[in-house]
Amino acid sequence: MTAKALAVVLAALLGVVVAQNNPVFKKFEYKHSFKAPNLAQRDGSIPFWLVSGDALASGEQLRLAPSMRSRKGIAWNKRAFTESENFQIDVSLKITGQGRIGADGLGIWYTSQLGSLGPVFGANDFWTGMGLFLDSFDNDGQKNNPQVSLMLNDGTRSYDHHTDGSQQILSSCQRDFRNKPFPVRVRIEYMKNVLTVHIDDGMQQTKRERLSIGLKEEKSLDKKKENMVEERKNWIFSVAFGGLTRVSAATGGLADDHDILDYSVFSLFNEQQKPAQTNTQLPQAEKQKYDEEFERQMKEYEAERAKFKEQHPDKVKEDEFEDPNKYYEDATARELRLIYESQNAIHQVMQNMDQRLQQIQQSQLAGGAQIQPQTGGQAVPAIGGGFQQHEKNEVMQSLRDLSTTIRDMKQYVNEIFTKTYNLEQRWGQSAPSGGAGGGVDSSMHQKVDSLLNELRAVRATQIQQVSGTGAAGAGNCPNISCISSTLFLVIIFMQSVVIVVVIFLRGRPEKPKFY
Amino acid sequence: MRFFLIFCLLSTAFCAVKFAGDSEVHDEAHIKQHLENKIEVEKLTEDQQKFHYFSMHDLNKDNQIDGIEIMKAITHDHSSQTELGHGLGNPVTHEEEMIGLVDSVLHDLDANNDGFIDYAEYNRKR
Repeated sequence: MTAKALAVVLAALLGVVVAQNNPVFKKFEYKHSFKAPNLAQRDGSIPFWLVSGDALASGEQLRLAPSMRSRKGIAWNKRAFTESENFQIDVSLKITGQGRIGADGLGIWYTSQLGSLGPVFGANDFWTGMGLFLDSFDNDGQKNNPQVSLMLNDGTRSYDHHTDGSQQILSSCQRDFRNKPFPVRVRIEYMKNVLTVHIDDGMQQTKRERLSIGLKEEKSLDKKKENMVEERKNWIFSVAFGGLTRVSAATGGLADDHDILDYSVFSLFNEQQKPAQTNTQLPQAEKQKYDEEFERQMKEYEAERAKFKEQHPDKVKEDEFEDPNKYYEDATARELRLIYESQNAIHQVMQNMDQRLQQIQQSQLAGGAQIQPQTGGQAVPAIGGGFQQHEKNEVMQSLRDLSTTIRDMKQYVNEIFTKTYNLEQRWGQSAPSGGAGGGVDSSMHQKVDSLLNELRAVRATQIQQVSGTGAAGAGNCPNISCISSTLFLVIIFMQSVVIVVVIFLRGRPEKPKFY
Repeated sequence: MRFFLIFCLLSTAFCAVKFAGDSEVHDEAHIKQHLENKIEVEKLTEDQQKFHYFSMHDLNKDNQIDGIEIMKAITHDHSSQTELGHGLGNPVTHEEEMIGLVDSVLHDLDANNDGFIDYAEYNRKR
C-alpha cells in the first residue's frame, strides 16, 4: 500500500501520472489518514480520529471489530475533507477468522455527517453519501459472498441486510478478501464524478524497498470499475465535497477480526486545480545525487546491521516492521514460527552439549594415561606431564564427596518416591469409595453411630430407673434414697455414746456395793 | 484559570520539538537511542547523522516521511520503557497547534507539495 502510494508519489515527482488520460497531482493528506506502525497514541486514540464501539487502536492496527460475537466498532475522521473535490483513499485491511465463512463485514464510508454506531456494518443507517461494503456473510443465500458492493444513500433509505442490499447497491462483485496472507489493498478513487474501486487479492506482499518508478503495480491490481449512473453524478458531487471519511465493521453470529493497517487519503488535482508549489522544484540532477547518496547510506547501514547481528546475536531484537513476513503473518503462521524457533533453540543447545561432550572426551583420552578413567567425569584438563600425587588425591577426594552427595540425593529421591507411592496407593484404594476422606468418614460415622446408640440405651435405662424410684417409692432400695452418710454417722455416734453411758452406769452401782 | 492557560501555552511552546531542525538532526544521543541493538555506534559522521535521523523517523520504511511520521516524531519520547507503550506517541492535546507545527515543516521541506518529504527534499534544506 505504502509502496503503491510511493510509486504514485514518485511518479508525481516526475510530474504526472496518467490516469483517465488526464494529468493528476496527488497530495497525501495526513489529517485524514493513519497508518502503522505506532498507529495509535499511548492512550489508544488516533490523532484527528474518533474511535468508538468495540474498535480498538493499537500500535500495529486499528481493530474495528474483534472476532467475538455481535461486536461493532467505528472510527471516523473529525475533519471534513475540504482539500479538494476529488480524492483517493488507499486502505490496507485484514479480515481474518477461524471459520470457513465469516461475518459480518466492513464498511468504508464517505458521508456528509459524523457517524455513529449502528446496524450497517457497525455504522448508522440512513446515511448521506456513499458506502463501500466488504460483505463477508451471505444473508440472501445467493452464494455471492464475500462480495464487495457500493451503495449510495440520500439519508432516506435503510440498508436491507436480508438481501445483502441487492436491490439497493449500485453494483457489486464477488471477491474473497478473507484470510489472505498479506493485507488486502483497496483503492477508492473519485475523480471527475467517476468512482473507481481497485481491490487486490492479498497474495503479494507490499514492497517496502525503494521502487523504481513505474505503474506496473497498477496492472497487478484487480481492476473493478464502477461507473456511477448518469443521474447520480451531480448528486454525489455535491455530497462529496467536504464530506467525512470513516471506517466501520461488525460481527454477527460468526466473527472475524477486522483490522485496518493503513488508511491513506490523498487529494487529487487536475492540471488547472493544481495548487501552487511552495518552493521551486528540485533540479533533476540534484535529486539524482541525493537518491544515490541515500542508497549508499542505506547499504552501509544494512551492512553495519548484518555485522552487528553476527557479533551480538543475543542483543538483536528483530524489528517487526523490517521483516514483512513477520509483520503480516497470521495466527497459524505465528504458531508455526514459534515452534520452529524453539526447535532451533533446542537444536543449538544440543549442539553445544555435543561439543562440550567431545571436549570432555578428548581431555579424558589425553589424561587417560595418567589417571583413572572415572576422573573423566570431572572434565579435568590433562596438563603437561600429568597429575602430581596430591592433585590426584584431591581429585579422588572431591569425587568421593560428590558421590556421597549424589548418594544422599538418591536417598532423598527414593524417600520422596516411596512417600508419593504410598500416597498414591492410599488414594488408589480409597478412590473407588469416593476418595480417602470419604472412607475415613464412613467408618468413623459407623462408630459414632454405634456409640450414640449405646449412649441412648444407657440414657433410657437411667431415665427408667429414675422414674421407677419416683413411682414405686421404697420398693426398690429405700435406704439409699432415705439416709445420707452423715445421718448414718450421727446415729452410730449416738449409739456408741449410749453404749458407753450404759456401760459406765452399769459399772458405777457395783462399786459402792463392794465398799 | 488564566495562569493555567498561560502555563499550558508556555509549556507547549517550549516543549514543542521541532522536526528536522539543526539541533535535532545532530542530536547524536537521541539517534543512538534509536540505533540501540541495531548497529554498533561510536561516532557518527555528519552524513550518517543526517541519514539516520531521516531513517529513524521513516517508520514504515517507504523511504519518505509523511505528515503522520512528522507528527509521531514530535510526539514520541523515550520516557516510557514498558513494552506496551514502547514507540507510541504521547496523545496530541492541541490538534490545531499540532497541525500548525506539521504544516510548517511540510511547507519548509516538501518542495513539490505532495505531502511527502523524500531524502532529496530533506537534504536540500540542510
